[in-house]
Amino acid sequence: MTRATARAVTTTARPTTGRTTTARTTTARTTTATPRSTPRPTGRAVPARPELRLVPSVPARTRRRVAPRFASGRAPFVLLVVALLVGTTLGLLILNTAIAVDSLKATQLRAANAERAQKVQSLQQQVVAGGTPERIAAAAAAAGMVPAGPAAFLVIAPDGSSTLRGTPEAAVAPPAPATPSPASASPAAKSPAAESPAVKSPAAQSPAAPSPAAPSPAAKSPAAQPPTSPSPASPSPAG
Amino acid sequence: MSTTSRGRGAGPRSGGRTPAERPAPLRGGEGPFVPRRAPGTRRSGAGLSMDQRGLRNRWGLIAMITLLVLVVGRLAVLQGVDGAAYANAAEQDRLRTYPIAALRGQVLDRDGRPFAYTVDASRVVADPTVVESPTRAAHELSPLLHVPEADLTRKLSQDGRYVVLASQVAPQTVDAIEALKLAGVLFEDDPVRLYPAGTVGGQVVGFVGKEGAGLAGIEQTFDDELAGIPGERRVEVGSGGNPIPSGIDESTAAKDGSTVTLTIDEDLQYVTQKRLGEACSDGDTTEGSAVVLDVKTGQVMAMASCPGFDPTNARKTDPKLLGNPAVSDVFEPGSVMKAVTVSAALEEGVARPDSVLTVDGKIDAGDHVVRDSHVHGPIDYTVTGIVAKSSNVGTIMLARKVGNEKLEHYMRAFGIGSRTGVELPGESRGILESSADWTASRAANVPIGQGVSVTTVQLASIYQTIANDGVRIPPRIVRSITSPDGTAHAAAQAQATRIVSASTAADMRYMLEAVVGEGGTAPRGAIEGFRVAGKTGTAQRPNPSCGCYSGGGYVTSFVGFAPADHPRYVVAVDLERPTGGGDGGGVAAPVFADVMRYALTAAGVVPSGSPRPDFALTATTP
Repeated sequence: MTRATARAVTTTARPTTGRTTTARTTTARTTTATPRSTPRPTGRAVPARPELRLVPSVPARTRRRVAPRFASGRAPFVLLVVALLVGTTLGLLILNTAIAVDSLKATQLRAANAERAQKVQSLQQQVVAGGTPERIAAAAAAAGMVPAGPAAFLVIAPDGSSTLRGTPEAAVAPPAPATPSPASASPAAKSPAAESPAVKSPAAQSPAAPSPAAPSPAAKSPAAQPPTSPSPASPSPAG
Repeated sequence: MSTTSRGRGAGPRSGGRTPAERPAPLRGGEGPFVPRRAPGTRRSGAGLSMDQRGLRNRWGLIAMITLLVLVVGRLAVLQGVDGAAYANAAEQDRLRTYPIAALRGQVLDRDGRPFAYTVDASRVVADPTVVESPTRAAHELSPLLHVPEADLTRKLSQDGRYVVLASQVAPQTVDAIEALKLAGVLFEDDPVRLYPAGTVGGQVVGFVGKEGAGLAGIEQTFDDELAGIPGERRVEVGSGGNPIPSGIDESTAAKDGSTVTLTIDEDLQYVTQKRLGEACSDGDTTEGSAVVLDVKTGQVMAMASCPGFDPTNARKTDPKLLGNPAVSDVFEPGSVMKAVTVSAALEEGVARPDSVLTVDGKIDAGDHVVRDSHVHGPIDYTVTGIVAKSSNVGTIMLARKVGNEKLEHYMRAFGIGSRTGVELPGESRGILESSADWTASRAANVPIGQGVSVTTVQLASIYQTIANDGVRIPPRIVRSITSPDGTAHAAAQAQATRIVSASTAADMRYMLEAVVGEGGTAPRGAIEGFRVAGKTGTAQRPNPSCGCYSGGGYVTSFVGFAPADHPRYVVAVDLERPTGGGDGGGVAAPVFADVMRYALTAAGVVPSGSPRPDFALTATTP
């Protein structure tokens, strides 16, 4: 049994040693095992057991013959595999790093974008708030503007003659809002400029005038002085 | 490996070596500590017999295979059968779902200026268990959040893990709070609805509740369109809750709400509201409404009531003020209703504008007597004169010629007693009894606008019909709905219906022009340069305390259109004056004139230049 064991050990050991080229050269065991055809065990004097039948030597022989042939072509292959492994690992590492960096950048850009959107939003809010009729009316009043009175129109006929429709009136400053006097039909004095050939007299035509120029009834308070009022609504000569 | 089969039994059989060959033991030859076996390999030359070995191998193999089958079977169950569920559970563990709020659509005026829009804002919340120093945090947050420091301290010190410190905080403030780096203070999305125009158009636009649902006005009617559909984002997150770059990241985009464009003109709305506000602050007027319609399209250009409210502060406003009286409140219109009665008379052919009726100062009407507003004996009024002087007696005489049933038919055709269908919530249909139920006094009251109730919008719609050559186009206030991708869908157009013939409408326009100006009841409804047609109304207002007319005051109204020869706009004004006197010509007509003047001027309407005709109000001596 011992011999069989030994044989088993040697046979299993051989391919192992055979794989490395250095081991193949001088190992005593290898050399002793080389004359395999003679079933003589080498090392130990152990009584043989006749019923031994375990290891068929044929596959071992085949393997031994094949192994050296591979051995010469194995090194480049191993190197290739190692290179591939290393390459893949490095590639993955680089890719992952790149993705992480990009993701970080994307997050930063997104944050910057959100910040700008916020800025745009707050600016738009200011624009909208500044464009409400109430704010424009207040700003116009602060700038000394007054609501336009009734409009008068110069209609130019095809033959070039013009007719005045409506009665142009200078807009008058409304009195203090504390005393809203009821509307009176008292006609305001005509401004001398009213005869100028303006196409349309009231502020509604003028881009400088605020749109919600309310024709307030209070505008016709008798106390107001039409000709002296700072009136952007009086007819502009540019026509 | 066969060596595994050696066991303890192999030891004694190591007969290959005799004790004599053993190297001399270090501690003497014998004794309890001397190994019985020679040092070296424990392998024996002899092993188990092949049968034994085969048997063991077989059983070992069976055991191994059984275990393997068990493991593989379990694996198959885990991977194949329950696999999906486990994978799903694992994924769910890593997946976080974040809602994406849909941006609520805007409400715009007809030129695209916003009445209502939504901006980002945040809710500042805190986890009191994480906040390190409540007093210090409260001290730092108080000026930023405009919340008293004591309140914040109390909130930050209380039990629990979630307290709301402030709602709808502007992004700039959020940035400032983030810069403080306070532990345990967090932010949640809490978009805020802004109404930049404030009270202007507030009643039309309405407002949204705490949860962002529309509770009044357009916000309510078009809540589904405005709200949009919220989306969500599902991301695979790592340990810190940070998204894994290459992990699952799928989002269902939120579908933003559509934008509703109204037919309201913001400037005209402002002027109307401002003028109405002045009328309401005269001391006698408690409520008032005004509606401006475009004659050709029936579009509502402005709609206001006073006192109004600011949608921004809707939650702090008296709930009684949060309606839209122009569509929801009814009143007895008074003489403005005479236009319907006279239209019916003309259309039925029982009268013409120059027909002459001998009108007495009073007329019996069942259990009471109806008088004209000023005492007079019998006068030979033309129908034009009846309208111009607003004679109750003459109108009742005409109504009797028409008949109750026909009169009711015309009233209903003009839209009284049914909703106009304007896209606003809470619209009232008004009150008009069936003519079969009219008593003698009711039959005399209805033609002159008592015992029948209308809304301001209905009133404006009646005059729109007359101004539009007898074709009624029910008022509409929504121009178009624009979906988030920019495609605009025009709002459904109301069905135009012919109510009276074009000639009847022309006659009515002629007669209504007589009202405004010399000889009529409303000289103050005139607008310089333009021909104006309209009708005053002074109705007795029911006294809510007794259910009778005495002491109820008046509802004064004026409805008209201009230019009379080519109408563009209808303006209806009604003012409730429980304590004041005054008739429609004196109180409501100036409001009409100012609003109409602005509407015409802003639209650049050029007067035709044709003179106001002379009206024969009484029968001239032949």
